[in-house]
Amino acid sequence: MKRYRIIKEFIKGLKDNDVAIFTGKEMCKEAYQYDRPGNFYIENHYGIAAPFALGVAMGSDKRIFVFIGEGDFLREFSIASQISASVCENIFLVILDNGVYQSIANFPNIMSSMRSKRGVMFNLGLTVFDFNVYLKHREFDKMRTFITNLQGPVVVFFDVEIGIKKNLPEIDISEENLKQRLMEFIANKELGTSVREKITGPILNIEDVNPEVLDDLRKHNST
Amino acid sequence: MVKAKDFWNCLCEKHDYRFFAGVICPGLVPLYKKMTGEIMHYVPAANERIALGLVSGAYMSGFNGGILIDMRFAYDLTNLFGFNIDFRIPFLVIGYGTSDSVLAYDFPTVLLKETTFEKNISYIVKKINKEKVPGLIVIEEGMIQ
Repeated sequence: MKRYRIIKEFIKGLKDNDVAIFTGKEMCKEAYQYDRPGNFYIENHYGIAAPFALGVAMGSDKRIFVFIGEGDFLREFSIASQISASVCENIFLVILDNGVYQSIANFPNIMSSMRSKRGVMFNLGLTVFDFNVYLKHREFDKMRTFITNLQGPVVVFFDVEIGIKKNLPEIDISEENLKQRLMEFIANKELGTSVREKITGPILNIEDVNPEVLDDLRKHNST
Repeated sequence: MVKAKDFWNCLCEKHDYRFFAGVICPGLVPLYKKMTGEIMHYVPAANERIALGLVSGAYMSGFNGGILIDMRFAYDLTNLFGFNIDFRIPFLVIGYGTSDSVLAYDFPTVLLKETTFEKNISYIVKKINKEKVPGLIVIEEGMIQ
């Protein structure tokens, strides 16, 4: 599935008080089509989005989702250990993996050659979710329910098809205004928080899950 | 020499800088020793870029802060700070270096001096908050105890 579609569906699952940070020029433009006050775009700087998100998470009670390509993530792989050590419950790393540097002639990177990228994250003590099962079965409602109730620190993996949405308009908010908007959003106590809500029941009712999805999850976990 | 405890008291209590991150530097050991969770929060970072990201993010959440780094290595600080310069996110750099470091960068910089350290800190804090840029406090060998 294309990244554009995944971002669209994911954003629908975010709560009004969630922060979403996007990085990379094309990803930012794709996300900007679904702009919301809690969105923040880092178009021209690499290797900074995830640490920045963790810094926001440390000082805030809002859930912070950072959307990052695997190429950018590889530049600052050590952020995974930093997130693990922080034990922040409000940080969510969403890795959109297409296996190539899309903006540089689809040049391949090492992420797809790693023996177990999910295992690395898991062994760092992070909770890892592979959302590809939702994509495979087009279970977007289930995915959104899951996102709504997610508690961190979590790493979410998506395998993304190569390709970008073309002819999208540029982001017409200046960087300083983006900063101001995010600061006001975080400081707005009326929005409340989604992170300290106590979840009394299971976050997902097992009967609601498509049996095929469950089978996939079981197979994936066993590997 | 400036007492590390006085340095932190001035920065944290007087100027309300509370969030710090950094990469370990032997020249700043007196500062690490006098850190106290009562007035500040320090995160040991895996590298300089992560330290910078953490402090920048904390600023968005309403906390002023700074990074502690060893400036004897030839970092391209202007490149490292590009994100903060573009988004106009101010922060302090408490760097172990030499007086040459003061001349090397375009952003506000002071060399910490024993007799004027409170004025040095006040100047840099005022300057970076006004101009929304990084500010550098250079600490030479033996200046902090």
